[in-house]
Amino acid sequence: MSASRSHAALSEADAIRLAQQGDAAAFEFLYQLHSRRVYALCLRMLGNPADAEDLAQDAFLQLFRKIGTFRGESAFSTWLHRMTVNVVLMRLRKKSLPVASLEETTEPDEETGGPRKDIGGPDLRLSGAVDRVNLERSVEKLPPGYRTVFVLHDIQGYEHNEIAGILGCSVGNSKSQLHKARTRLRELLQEELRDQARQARRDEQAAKSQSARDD
Amino acid sequence: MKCEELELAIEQDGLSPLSEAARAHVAGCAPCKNLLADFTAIASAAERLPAEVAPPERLWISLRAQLEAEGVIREQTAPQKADWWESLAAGFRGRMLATTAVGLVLVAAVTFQLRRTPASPGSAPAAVPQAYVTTAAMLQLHEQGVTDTLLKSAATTPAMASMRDNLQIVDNFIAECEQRVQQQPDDDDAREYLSGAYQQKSELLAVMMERGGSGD
Repeated sequence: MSASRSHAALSEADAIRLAQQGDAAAFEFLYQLHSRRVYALCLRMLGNPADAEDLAQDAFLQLFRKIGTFRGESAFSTWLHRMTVNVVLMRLRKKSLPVASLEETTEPDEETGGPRKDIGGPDLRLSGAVDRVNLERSVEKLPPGYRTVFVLHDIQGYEHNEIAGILGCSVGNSKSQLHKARTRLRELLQEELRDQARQARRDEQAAKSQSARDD
Repeated sequence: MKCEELELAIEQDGLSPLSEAARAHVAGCAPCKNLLADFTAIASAAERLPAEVAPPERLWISLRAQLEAEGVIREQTAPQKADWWESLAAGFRGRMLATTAVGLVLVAAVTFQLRRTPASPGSAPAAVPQAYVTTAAMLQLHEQGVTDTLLKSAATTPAMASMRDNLQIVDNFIAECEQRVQQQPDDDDAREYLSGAYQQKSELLAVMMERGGSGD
């Protein structure tokens, strides 16, 4: 669009300053700069494009309404992602889905006082078997707290200190959430593999029975 | 190092590089070796998922309209007067010229929005509201009127071409919404989207007719 063309040489800081004065092209520049990441985050968190679109719009609306108050204490993208995560989590709460709090998900094991132990788990190796579809399906099943950190770190590539800034938690909490997310994902993926193996056996048996009947 | 300590090390320091002690433990512990291999496979598969996804084009169109309506975007500071958005905004400023037909369409769209009544528990699924059918039909009539006007005035400015493109985007969105409402008449979100899209279209048609009629 012409707005992004006209401001192609702008820095983000210049665009923010112009947007604070109500400059339409600056708003579009900022939107074009960040919308893919924000939309991807909403999409991964909510699992459907209609909700993702709705919430990406909410996040940008909130951001642009408040852009006059942005003083640059944190990175603009951190500010935007914080708003995005907040609108997403609020939507999930409204839908009454369980949202694990940071405290809740970082509690130590009740029995041992140490980290929850399911090391190794069932001996079903995933290596080489994690395909995109299985992973996406399993990510959608994660509790929102785990999902947020996993998406931000492992998919979007943010560092723990950035995630801590976005979520308003400690770096330790972010690391702990990620670890628990991966642990839960591993279980979900193992279940997925078991289901697929069971289905394959059922299909095989059905094929054999059919073949026996045909003979 | 014990298994619990390895898990803590992975949590705090990441999957790699592992300390000497951690590597030694993993080498002699099958469950921890599996855990590390699985975590690495998960992280590596996640890395291959796209970190960025392009949102639909209509998202910015809708966002921009909202920001303009709220006065967050102030037109006088916009740099390019030839931008089609500026043309569109100019059209909105002169909305007084909008036709009676547009008024009727807006009324129908609002009526449709207001008539949304959530189904009571246990009741049969709601049918697609009549107001929605009426609104769609009226929009179609109005669109025909706009097309006739534009044909007469031979309006072929870049701004008008952009508006036609925009109309196509809105039409596509309406088609998606209509399909969803037909499939799930009780889906409040779909009905809201559809109602909003109808209003967006009626406003766009009003601007097109106004600008086409004035020969801009």
